Amino acid sequence: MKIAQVLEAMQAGRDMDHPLESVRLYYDLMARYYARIEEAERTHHRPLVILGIYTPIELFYAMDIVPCHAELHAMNAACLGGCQGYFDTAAAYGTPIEACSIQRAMIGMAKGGLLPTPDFIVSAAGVCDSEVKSLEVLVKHFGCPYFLTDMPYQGDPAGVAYYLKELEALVPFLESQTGRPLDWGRLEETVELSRQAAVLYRQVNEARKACPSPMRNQDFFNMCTVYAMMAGTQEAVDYFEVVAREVREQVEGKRPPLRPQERFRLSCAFCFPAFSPELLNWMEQEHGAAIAIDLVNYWRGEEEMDARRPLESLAKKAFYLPLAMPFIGPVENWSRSVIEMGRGYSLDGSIFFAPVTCKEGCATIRILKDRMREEAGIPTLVADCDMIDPSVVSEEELKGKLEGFFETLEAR
Amino acid sequence: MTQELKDVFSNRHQVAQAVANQGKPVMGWMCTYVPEEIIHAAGAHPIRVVGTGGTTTTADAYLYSNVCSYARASLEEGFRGSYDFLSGYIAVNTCDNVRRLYEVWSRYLNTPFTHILKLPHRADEEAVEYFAGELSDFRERLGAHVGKEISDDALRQAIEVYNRTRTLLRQLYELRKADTPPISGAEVMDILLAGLILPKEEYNRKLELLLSSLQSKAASPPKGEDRIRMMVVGSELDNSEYLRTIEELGGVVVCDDLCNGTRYFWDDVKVNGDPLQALANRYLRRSPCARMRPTSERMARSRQLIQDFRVEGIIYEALKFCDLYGEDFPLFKDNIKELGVPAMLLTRDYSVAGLGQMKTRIQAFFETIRG
Ligand code: SF4
Ligand code: SF4
Repeated sequence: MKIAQVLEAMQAGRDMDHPLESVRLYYDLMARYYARIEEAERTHHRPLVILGIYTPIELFYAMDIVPCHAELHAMNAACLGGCQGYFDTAAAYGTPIEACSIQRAMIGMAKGGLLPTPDFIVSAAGVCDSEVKSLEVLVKHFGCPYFLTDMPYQGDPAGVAYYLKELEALVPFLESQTGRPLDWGRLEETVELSRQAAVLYRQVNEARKACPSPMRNQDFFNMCTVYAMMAGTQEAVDYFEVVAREVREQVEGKRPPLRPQERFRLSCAFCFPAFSPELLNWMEQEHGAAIAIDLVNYWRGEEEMDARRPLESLAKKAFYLPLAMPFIGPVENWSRSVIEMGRGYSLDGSIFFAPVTCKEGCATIRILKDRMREEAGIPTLVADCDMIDPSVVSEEELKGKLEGFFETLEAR
Repeated sequence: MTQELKDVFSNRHQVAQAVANQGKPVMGWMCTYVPEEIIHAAGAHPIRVVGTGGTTTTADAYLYSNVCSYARASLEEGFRGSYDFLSGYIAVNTCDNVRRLYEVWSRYLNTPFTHILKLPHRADEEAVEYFAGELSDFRERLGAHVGKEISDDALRQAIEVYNRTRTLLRQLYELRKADTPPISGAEVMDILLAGLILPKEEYNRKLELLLSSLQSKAASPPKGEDRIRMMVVGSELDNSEYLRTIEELGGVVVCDDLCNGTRYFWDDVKVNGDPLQALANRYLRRSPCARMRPTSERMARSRQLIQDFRVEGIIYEALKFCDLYGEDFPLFKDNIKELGVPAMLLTRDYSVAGLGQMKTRIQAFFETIRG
């Protein structure tokens, strides 16, 4: 699936009737994001970068570089149009079938000529092996310049100082690629916009503590996607303002109930099978099971960005960003998040959708499950699956597994 | 001597237990980026933690069945109690599997001291500085655990002992450059594996004896004409049967780019200056593993070995579920294309199961090389 096709799908999503403004806005933002990539590829007026999702996006917006998160794009394309073709192409190239399915889809898309040709690639090492290796395959494929920021294992003072130097070295690389110096004032503005979005994001999370949950299950992943792809833009701030208003109104009873009855409050302790948004809807409508909070949106701690120290703020944020923090460094980060979510959101249970090709994620299951039970008294369901490939475990099979879990929760 | 060294690895738990019985703390390490010199300087005895064949039922339940079988087999061995004598367990955030294994090991096995070293992915000045800080913390924590300050002098002595091992092993590899090497690849692996277990002083003495006997010996084990000079590339390999199979089928393994092979010993630590800085420098800038960047450095080293040892064929072994080496193979193959040396990927499980199927594939590979 080419960029233009995903763009069309996002535009179609935007033009549909949605009960929530935030959903229409989400599709609008995604359409704009894809339109920028499509335009950059077509006109070459602005440089196009393929970016690993853990690289601070604000820097790129500040330099008017158009980002394309190839992994997220692969996820979107696979969920919209199927993934087997991409997997086959990746396997023919030599990528092992045991490698992360998202990365395999991305490699398959690149080898199949479905990714836009970037001017350069930037990624961050340290979060997962598969991501870094796969981006190297893309570098080789496109034969373009590459910059890898080396994220250390922990965001302790030495780690942040080290990563700050990495970002300081990234700046001249970007300047040489774009032929323009970084406008530090512009960077401060983007960091400030990112901060504003994060403040609103945290407000949303605070509101999600309410019972019943003020957010539909099918919407939570939109937030982390918007922040990953657009932090540092006014568009992202506008989006989070709308979400914050909607959840506030929901809590205040100014909107109709989102589900017949809230019977279970759950967390998503990792990702969810993106190929089946319907599953989340089904949980909610059929079983009153609300995803009250989830790992990829959960901001732990109070740390805030400071636009007066933009690069330092970005270096620090790289370690506490919800999409990165649990996966970097020791499992302690992840454990503390799930336990805090369990206690803070009055959960009945937690679900760990375990993507069977993700080593980094699945190897934490035992510790997370044990600690969640011991320290928060909350049971965890582990449901093997794939994020984009329904042939691994189907939606029906997942429903069966979830129903069993709901029965156990009911009996408690 | 070769048999004696082979027995060391076969009886590794007894050998290490005997050291522990003498009152010396035994420290298990998990990755060749752990500077054993610091452990040695602490008056402790470092050994590599490995698994054995067989099922990994318990480890699968604590890690996950998609984790590489080396990590699971090592954990299984821990759960079996084979490593109960360990006073410490030291890992590095080398790969996702090892860092997660470290966490499970630390939580569920009662090893008194555990530590994970944070290794940068690059080897520039800043990275060396950062890693030197890491080593300094490790030195302090380990010293506190063993109740002994780890002095610079002790570090320097340890560096000398370890450099001696490296020199001797390089001499051993030098012999393999001959048209008909005096020792098989499988035997070399047995020798290397013993070095992961024995105290290095004792190991060095044995290596010296071995080398003098080999230097005066005519070429022997890989008999026969027309043997294909093979190199084995990949991750952790501690099973000499693997190489024996290759050699029984008509190859002679003359060199490697393996975790327990050249990457373990190829580069010396500088003896001058601050020892911790020298260790940080050596360990970061040594022959890199597939997790280090830029990949070009690793590829250049591999190409050099291929040329120096006149390699005619390459077996690239990757453990199933190892993203680092599995995903690396197409890149590796592309990087050696210009040398015209064929390479074959053999994905394997840590246990020797599947050797039969492997034989057929190796035979077919040899046939293509021979044309
Ligand atoms: S799913 Fe797991 S393996 Fe894949 S990119 Fe994410 S963390 Fe890495
Ligand atoms: S074989 Fe690969 S995954 Fe396993 S420990 Fe080694 S580098 Fe890590």
